Amino acid sequence: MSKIFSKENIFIIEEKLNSKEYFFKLIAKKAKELDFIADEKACFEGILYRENQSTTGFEDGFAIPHCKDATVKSAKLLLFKTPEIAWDSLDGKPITISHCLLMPENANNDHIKLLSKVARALIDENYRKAIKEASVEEIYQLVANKMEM
Amino acid sequence: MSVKKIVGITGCAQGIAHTFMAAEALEKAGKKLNIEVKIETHGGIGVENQLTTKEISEADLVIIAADIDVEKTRFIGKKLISVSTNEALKDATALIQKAMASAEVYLGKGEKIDGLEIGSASNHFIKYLMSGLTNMIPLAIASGILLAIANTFAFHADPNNPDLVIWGFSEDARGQFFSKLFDLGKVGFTLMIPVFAAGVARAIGDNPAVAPAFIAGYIINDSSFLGTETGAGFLGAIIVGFGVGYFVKLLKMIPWHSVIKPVVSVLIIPVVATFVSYVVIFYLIGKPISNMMSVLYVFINNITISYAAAPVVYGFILGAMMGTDLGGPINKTALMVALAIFVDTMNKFGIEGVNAIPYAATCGAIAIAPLGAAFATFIFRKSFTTEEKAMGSSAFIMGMVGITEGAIPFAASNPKLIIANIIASGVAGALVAGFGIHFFGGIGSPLGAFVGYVKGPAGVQFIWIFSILFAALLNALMYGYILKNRKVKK
Repeated sequence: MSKIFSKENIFIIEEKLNSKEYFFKLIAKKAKELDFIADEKACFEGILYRENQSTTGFEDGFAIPHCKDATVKSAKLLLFKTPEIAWDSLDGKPITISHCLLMPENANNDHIKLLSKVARALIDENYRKAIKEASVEEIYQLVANKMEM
Repeated sequence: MSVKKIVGITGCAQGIAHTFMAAEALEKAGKKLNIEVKIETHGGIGVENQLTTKEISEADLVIIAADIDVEKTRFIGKKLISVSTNEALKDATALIQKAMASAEVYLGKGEKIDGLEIGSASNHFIKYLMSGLTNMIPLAIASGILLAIANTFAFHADPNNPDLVIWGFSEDARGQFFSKLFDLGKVGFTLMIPVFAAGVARAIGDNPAVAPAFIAGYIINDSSFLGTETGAGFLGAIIVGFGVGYFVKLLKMIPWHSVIKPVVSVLIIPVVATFVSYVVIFYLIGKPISNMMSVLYVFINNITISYAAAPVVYGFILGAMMGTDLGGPINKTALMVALAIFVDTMNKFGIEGVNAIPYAATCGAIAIAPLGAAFATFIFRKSFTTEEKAMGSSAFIMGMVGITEGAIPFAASNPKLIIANIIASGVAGALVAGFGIHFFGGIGSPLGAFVGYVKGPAGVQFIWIFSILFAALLNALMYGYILKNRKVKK
């Protein structure tokens, strides 16, 4: 579990992000800094490729961009709190909280199971409400609880 | 409709997030609406939370929320709705309500059963031919029926010998009305070839291919233009349809200069494609194909007349093909061959020499599989589930209007039944053709005797109805035999 998600995977971004693409570049950059991926460009393109298939913008300001690519070293969850990003989300609202999933090409089944729990958690209104108001420490606890369920 | 249980499948391309979010959303919405929901997820780990046969049979509704292809044969005969994962995420409650209001029974069209594609054709060649047929069939039916009706009024008393009846239109007003109607029917038959060619070409090369293929389809079948005895008929039309279609597609791929681009599809392509078609047809392929077709049709007509067994044999083959894949490529091929013989012999030999027997064999066989399935559910009630009995009633209605797809749910859930469909449909084709019945168009079912035009020996309508009902009954008996050891839970 700690391998997939830790406190250092949570980012509070103050800087204004002009577009989804700009945000995806930032995700790739942070992932590279943490040594989760081999190649920043491949990671960015992986996220963009998935996004172009159909939107990962959900509702309530939540999005779940993800990348499944050989450049990813092992499954990771990154969580970003950002100023509003314009997004063709399902309810049309801009995105402020992104659960970003990174998956290697041949992912370990246990890892997919853990990440799928996080994805399921987004459907829970109480979880979304709590995440919005939470500090970094609280976010870590909330996500960890969901994964252990 | 009261819905208590729903089963479903979710799946997305990468199998990480949306598969599970959609599943969660549907399960949660089910709780809210007090409906038991079970979702099978097709995610990155493979299939999880697998649905059992029992769960599927107990479910009132199937919801598929997937961005990937999901195998659906398990759900044949169930009410089913199919959407993307995002549609389930957007508002799962609304999706369930929409499904309750508007889900339709899944018939399994297009599914593959034992390697046989049922009910539709994904093969490109067949698909293109089908679009030509779709355009042509209404024309064949309209002109076939009107021509046949006009023809019945063409007989009148010989003025020199009141005891004799001769064929030919008398010269009074009534005669003129029907002789013009007859001519109109013949115009329809002449146009079928170009309409078919244009339909095939449009499916390949889109709208710019229509005009060249129509003109080329006309000249390749026009004996006076070619200077031959007869035209190139259906085979010519197929060659024109594909040739022009792909030629136009090729022309569209040329990187035209932006100045002339706006006129490419209305001017350049039609002119170039028509001109090239003219040269190719007039100087190269028109004459040899026409001569070949002429020999072929004279041969078919001769064996039909000379050998009593010939129509029985080809009737059986064509009929059996109709029952094999129920609207799939084999079925469509048989229908096309029969229609080609009908249209071409009408154009070549006129109404006295037309060979509409193969067409009668295919149209007589269309209804056998659905009617057979229906009769089986009426006779062998113990061998079928409640749902199948309900499907039997709808198969009966579909059979009576000549829709062969009505038998798909039965064939899909029990592939052995396809053998019964093949044999019984073949028997229908053999009977109809053996009795020498011609079919000029109408509903391919017992009703075709009245809603349509059949021609043949005395009592032709009765023979038509008898042949179809006999074969359908045979089909039902074979179903009963195949399913005799089947255990159906009460």
